[in-house]
Amino acid sequence: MQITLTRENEYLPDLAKLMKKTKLTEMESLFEFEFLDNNVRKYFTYNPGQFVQVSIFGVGEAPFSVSSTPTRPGNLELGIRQTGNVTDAIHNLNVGDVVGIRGPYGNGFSMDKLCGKNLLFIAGGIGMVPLRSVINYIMDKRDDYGKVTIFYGACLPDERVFVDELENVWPNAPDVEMHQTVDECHETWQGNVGVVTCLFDVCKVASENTVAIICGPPVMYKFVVQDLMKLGFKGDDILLSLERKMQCGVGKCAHCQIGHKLTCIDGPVFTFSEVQRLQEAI
Amino acid sequence: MSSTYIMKRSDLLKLVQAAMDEYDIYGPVQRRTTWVFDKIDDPSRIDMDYDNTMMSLKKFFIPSKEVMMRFNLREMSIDDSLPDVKAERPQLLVGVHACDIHALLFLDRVFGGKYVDPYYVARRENTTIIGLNCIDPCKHGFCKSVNTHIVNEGYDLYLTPITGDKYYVHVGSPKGDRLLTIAGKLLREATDEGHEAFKASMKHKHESLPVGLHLDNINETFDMAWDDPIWARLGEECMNCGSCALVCPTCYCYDVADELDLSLSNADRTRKWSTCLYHDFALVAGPHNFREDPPARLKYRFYHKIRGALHDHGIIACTGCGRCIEHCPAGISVKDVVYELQKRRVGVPVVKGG
Amino acid sequence: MGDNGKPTVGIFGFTGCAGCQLNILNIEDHLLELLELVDITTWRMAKSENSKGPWDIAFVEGSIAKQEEVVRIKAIRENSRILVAIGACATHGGLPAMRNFRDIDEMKRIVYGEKNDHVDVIPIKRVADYIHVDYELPGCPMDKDEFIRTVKALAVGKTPDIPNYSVCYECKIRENACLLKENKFCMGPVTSAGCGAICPTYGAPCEGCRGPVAQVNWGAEYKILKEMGATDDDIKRRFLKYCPVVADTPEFKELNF
Repeated sequence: MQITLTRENEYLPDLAKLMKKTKLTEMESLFEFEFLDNNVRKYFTYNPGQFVQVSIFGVGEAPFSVSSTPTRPGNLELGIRQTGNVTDAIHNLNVGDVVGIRGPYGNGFSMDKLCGKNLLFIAGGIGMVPLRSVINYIMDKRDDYGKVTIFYGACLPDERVFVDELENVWPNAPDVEMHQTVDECHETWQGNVGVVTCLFDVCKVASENTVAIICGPPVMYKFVVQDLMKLGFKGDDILLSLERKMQCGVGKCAHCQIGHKLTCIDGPVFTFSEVQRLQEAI
Repeated sequence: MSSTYIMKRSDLLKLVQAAMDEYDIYGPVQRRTTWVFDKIDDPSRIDMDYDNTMMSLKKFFIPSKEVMMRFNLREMSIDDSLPDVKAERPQLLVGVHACDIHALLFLDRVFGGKYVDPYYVARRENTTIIGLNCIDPCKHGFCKSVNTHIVNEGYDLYLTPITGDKYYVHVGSPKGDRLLTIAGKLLREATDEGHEAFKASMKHKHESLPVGLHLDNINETFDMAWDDPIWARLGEECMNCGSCALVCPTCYCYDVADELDLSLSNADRTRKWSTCLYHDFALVAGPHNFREDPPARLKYRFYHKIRGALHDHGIIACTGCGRCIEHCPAGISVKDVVYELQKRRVGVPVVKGG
Repeated sequence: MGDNGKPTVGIFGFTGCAGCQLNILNIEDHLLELLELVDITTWRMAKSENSKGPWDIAFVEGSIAKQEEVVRIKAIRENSRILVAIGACATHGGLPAMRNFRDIDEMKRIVYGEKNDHVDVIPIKRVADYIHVDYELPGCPMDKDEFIRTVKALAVGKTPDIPNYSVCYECKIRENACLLKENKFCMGPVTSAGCGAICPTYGAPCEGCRGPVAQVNWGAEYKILKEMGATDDDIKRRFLKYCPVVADTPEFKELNF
């Protein structure tokens, strides 16, 4: 049961302190925040796949997917790439600095509906940021879900995020199969080379009782979905987490509109059946 | 107990004058070749015979630029502007056409819903509206084609011009009752003669307002028209200047930005109007632009206003006010575009004109 | 950074009227506050003692019209962390570049007489044609408020927000009646905003001094002006007056006139 604090002005952020900052790659770091207000800390929860709006006062506000899982109460973890004014400022934060956070927003994944299913995760690059939340949620409730298969692709080995979990944690968890690939060959890389869809040749995936969960760069979705359809996946069993420009996060500013749906309200998680009916979605 | 009254047209000025102690008053005033809703200090400036204003009422509820909150960066504190908005003097909007009232009813749905926009709602609650029934067509409007020529809600008083230089006044809300009190003896209860005059005006209205197109099967039309050559053709004419969206009474897209003061210790979080026609509207970090081609953005605007609004709110986001037609520098007409698509796509009889 | 921890700033003039530099002086009300943020170490127009660099931020006004200026602008670039071109001359060639459309030898003869070999004259280009420019503040003159916003943004390490949408945005918000509808040859739809639509607000058509908007559709504006009775020459003058460099862009060449 998600308890949300009712507030008169949804646009006002709550203050949160940076507790820890861990470098993931050259461009990405993991930021751990804790709300200053006891009540907010106590009641703030979220679904895997939801996002929050982070404010750096005087610089601006931007949406970020949550990387932590609600099954592990504590700091809110956000994996963030340095790529613009707000993310530059976040990367320049020191532990102890204060930011504004509001949310969570968007639908996220319906973890209840996924119970008993086999799950195939397909992530590209920082597409792993929201999927890590789902994967760790499942790790914590391992008996509620079936077999887990994870496909992860990145441009270069050094650009992979959450390497410790990719290499040491998830592959050793019960009934988890983990495959990785990189686009470009690299001296130190012994694994697969090619775009993420090449992993379909490496690992035979059965569509039966299986839900595929996809997140990655815009170009990735179409090709992944094509391969899944060939394997017999139905539109309702393919879930995509989509990215769009957002300003308000609450369905007012219209920047994230895709066809007749709003990414911030109706998404960011859509079934492929929905996406099929939306022009210009993928 | 009647809620309809009769007022002499010239007495509207007296009503406005009497209301000045209580409200900031805005009404239609001529400016060059167009009209604007302007602050009224002298009631005689109000032109109730105006064709249409350039900017709709949205500027009173979502200002083109507004400070949502202020940050103190030294103390890391947030000062919400909402209390200031709530403390603003009540505003009275005089002479609002039916199409614009429909636009507000649409914006109410957008800014309400699961998450409420408190700034919009505060201003909406703080505003009283005197509507004006158009009994003759305006130059570019096509309200009857999109069923916005009649309103049943959204106004506090509604004035219908009737014979003898009078208004037939309908009271729509408690805020309207307040105006009745202010008006005092300027209004008297309508008699059968008044009702008859109202009926005659409405008969005139129905005869004089043309119907230029219809919306039957509009969803299907738009679903069929995604690859229609019309979008490429319009793309050649459109300069993506955004004029259509800016003057549109139901376009509400906005951008948010923080602006530091010169001491760098305080900052305003400001939102300002944006339009989906602009290059960076759907541009994300990467950079990746989900609508890189200018014609794709024009097409998106049509789809959002018709198809998207029907899906989200059950009504199209076009009130037929005609502002975008009047103010498009390239002369693109939403009415003609919808007419053409309807004619070719669903093939049912469509009416031209109006 | 200077000794006082503030970013050092150099302000430089090239070929132009110096009006943009003057506009910085005109900031008056906020100039002292601005000097709290940055340390202007070089500005020949306003200071007698000037540093030879390096600078954290260089603001460069004027177009590049002489070989000597090419050398100088390259030196400034090498000594500056961030370089900002200010004003139409620096960003789009500006009014001085009108001479690019005349016979330069004949003009040299008219101005300097027969013995003019010593006169250093090259076709006029904008600053970005010679060096990497980080940001451009267009306009004739550059807008004061935009300058202040840019200094603030750069002082805190932000990318300045410079509009790339059309003047119509600001014109509509000010509820100006459209001048194209009054048969005036207005460049608003194809010109970048940021000026507050000051000319149309006073009834004068936009002259395009802030340069073309993102993904400019010259063809559509050409068609509108043509239908209003403008000749090709009228239109060319409008399009190129402040922004002669657009004559070299593929979109402009497509117009074929």
